[in-house]
Amino acid sequence: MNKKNIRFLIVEDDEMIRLIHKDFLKDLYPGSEIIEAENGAQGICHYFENHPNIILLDMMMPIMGGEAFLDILEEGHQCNILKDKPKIIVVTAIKEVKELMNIGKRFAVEAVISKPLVQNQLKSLLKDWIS
Amino acid sequence: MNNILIIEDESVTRMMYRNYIRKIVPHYSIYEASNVLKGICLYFDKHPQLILLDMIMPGYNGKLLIDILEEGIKKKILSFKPKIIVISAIETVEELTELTRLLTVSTVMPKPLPFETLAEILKIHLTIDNINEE
Repeated sequence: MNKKNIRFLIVEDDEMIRLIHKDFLKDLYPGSEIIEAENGAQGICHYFENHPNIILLDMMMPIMGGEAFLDILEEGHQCNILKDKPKIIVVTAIKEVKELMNIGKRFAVEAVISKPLVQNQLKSLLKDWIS
Repeated sequence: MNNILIIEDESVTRMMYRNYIRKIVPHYSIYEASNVLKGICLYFDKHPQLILLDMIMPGYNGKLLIDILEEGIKKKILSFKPKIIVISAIETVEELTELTRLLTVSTVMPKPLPFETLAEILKIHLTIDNINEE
């Protein structure tokens, strides 16, 4: 992935956290495009309309959560409707280990990071993917 | 694009709709989804003009697609707005009123849907002058 044309999608209902993610990504990759969604429903619309390369996905959100977001993408891949596979990083406040492991095992998920201290983990993940 | 999408979990009902629609609007391509997750993917992939949506399905129900489209329209993310015909055995007046108040829902129809009604729906929503009613 080239840092010049990278497109991030942040799916997160907390405005403050969205802002923190956004500032952090802008500092790391100044040329990138950053799209924001307040819930999974807006996130799915942006996913299909704007084709982001990397998605930061919260799990617990009103209207539609991260679970349904992942279910839609996985069904789309299974039915061969979806061709591209974005890198999805689940950023969650879930603390239960088993639940975190189950999310991490999912086909659509590349990595799981626990809130609130996400920046160092995020930075090292992105460094591996973006040149 | 001349596309119609049927989202319905019962394969027999899907087949009935498909065969009937094919007969009256043969120049339309018909896509089918047995669950709403696939339906959502097909909506974004095929941009159907008309969606026949069953509300009550196992797993996620039809409301998931409506929620996504409502949010997409509200935030002006969507490039394409379909007409949605909800076909459902609606139990209460409240439920019916709630559905018709939504931006994305064009019509709410009872289930089972009579063929003559389906023909009328296609005529109104696809703005076709002559449909092949036998």
